[in-house]
Amino acid sequence: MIIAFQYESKAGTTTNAYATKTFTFSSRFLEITIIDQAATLRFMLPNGTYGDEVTYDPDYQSFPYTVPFQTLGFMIKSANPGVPAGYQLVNWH
Amino acid sequence: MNKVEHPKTLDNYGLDPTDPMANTPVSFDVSAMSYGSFWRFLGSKKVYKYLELFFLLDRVSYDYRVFSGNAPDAFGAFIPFPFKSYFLWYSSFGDTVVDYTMGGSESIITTEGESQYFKLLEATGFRVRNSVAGSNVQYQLVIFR
Repeated sequence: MIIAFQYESKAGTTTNAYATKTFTFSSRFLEITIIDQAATLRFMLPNGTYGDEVTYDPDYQSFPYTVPFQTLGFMIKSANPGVPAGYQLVNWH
Repeated sequence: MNKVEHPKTLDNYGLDPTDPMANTPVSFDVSAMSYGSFWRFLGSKKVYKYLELFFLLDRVSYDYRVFSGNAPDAFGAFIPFPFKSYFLWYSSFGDTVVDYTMGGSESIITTEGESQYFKLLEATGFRVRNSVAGSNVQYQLVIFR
């Protein structure tokens, strides 16, 4: 079984443009919290590109949400232009 | 006053030497039984189920794909995934019915308050429909491997 022994957190507020956040180590678990408003994320794939857009809407999706996903970073923006969302992604290593 | 007769013992283990069973060896091999069941367990399909679950839980996914849109009122064609999922995360912004089988026979309903789920399901595709006709519910399915 996987046991996490280190973590780092990326938190902030979204804007209309993608903000890129990179981790210092690859995640074993990713804990996603989106606050108040919806946000759109793309996660970094092993080849350094970013994958499909995932929408997170706290109105319908309960948070925090933990995914056993291995990534080195993500891009995040507001799902609805002009409506900033609070976010926190914790990378559990 | 009656005399209390203590049982006559053969070897201090409570066996009465006058009992016809006293000289009958009674034993069973615990190790043989337990190992026997262990080997039977190893030879069965059940062990692979456990191993599969162990490896599934031990996996860390590194790739993902997103399927999203508005659900139709009736199941359409089976939408294949580009890869078999390790895990999947489904969200619907309303009530929907999802099926991950080719035959469309095992439907999973999402209802209010249970509008998202994360499942350790190795699936190769899905189909989705509205729970209530005409509701045109938006859904999002993220598959991980």
